[in-house]
Amino acid sequence: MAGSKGSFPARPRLSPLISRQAPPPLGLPSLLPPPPPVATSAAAARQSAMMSQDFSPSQFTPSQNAADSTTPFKMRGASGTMPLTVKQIADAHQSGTGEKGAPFVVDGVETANIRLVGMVNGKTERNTDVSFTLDDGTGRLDFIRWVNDASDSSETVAIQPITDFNEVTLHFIQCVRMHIENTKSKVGSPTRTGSSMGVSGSNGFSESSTPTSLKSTPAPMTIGSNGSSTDLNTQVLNIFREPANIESEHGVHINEIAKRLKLPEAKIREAIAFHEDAGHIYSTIDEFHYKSAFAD
Amino acid sequence: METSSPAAFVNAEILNMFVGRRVRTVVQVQRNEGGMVVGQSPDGHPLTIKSAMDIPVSHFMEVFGIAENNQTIRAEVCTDFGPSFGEI
Repeated sequence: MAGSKGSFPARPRLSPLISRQAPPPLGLPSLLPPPPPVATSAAAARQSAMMSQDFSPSQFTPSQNAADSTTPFKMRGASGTMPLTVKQIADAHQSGTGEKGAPFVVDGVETANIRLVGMVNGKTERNTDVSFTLDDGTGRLDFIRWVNDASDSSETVAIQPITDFNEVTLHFIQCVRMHIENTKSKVGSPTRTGSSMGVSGSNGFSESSTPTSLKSTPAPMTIGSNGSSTDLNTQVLNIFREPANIESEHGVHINEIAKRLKLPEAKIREAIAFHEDAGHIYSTIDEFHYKSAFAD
Repeated sequence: METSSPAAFVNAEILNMFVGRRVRTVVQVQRNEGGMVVGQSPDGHPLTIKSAMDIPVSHFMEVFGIAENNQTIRAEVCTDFGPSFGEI
């Protein structure tokens, strides 16, 4: 799976560097990779969270959590982890294969190790586990961190508090980038340019952030050439799928899209015709206004 | 898991698109006036953050909250991001 960690400055503070998939909330065993059986009880869920990988456990002690509920935490993973947002996980779960024990699929890519960054809320300590909620701005996810005993040591979750807050920005940029990479290759676009183009193409992603004085990222934001029609289709569709536009009754006027993408109306018309045929969008009050057919 | 109240990343320029909705941003604190913080948005405009924590001037502060108008956010959660943020 495409690991993008090498393109950003190293983050040596986090050791031991390992682990894994966060233990899923109870009742969602279908998120887990094979082979475990269906789990419904707490003990069984813990069993099914174990993966046969040879990572050493990181020591997570509840005392590491600050009492302050706004402390940002992150779930770390070994190299090759996929940065994700809670919304992506929720979507992947909903569109999952339904087969118990099937791999977790995001953007068409099977994922075993994931990485999340968010704020810890509502920590509850019990004898056997610590549970908390992670809020990353796209949604909230419940976590249960079992107190490790020896037999569980092949599966662990590394949870580290954030001290350098650029990690937050970095994580979301990586999420956007992985998402673009994975969806671009699905659309079958031509080879991506390696230049760090401005993030004009990511207007459609509400995740992209522009923090104070952040220079253009050293890692190439692989947006792809603007001239290709498949990229344009995706860009146009992304504009329709922005939350503000989904909420609006009339949708988006074609001129607005032309203005945002700085492209002639004729090209936008082509993309719109493509999406209309595919059923992604529909016209609303007149032939200039279109709206996404998806309610997300 | 629930995804019912996402927060959109905003700067001063697009804050008006999200009035009444949950937003998030990082501001650099310029003034601190008893519960109200005036900070510089990522694109260099002043934003007012209501019910903010007491964060030292010139520190960066991440704020999650509801946008009240195109210049004000009513904070739900604030986090001190420290004196240096966003520099490579």
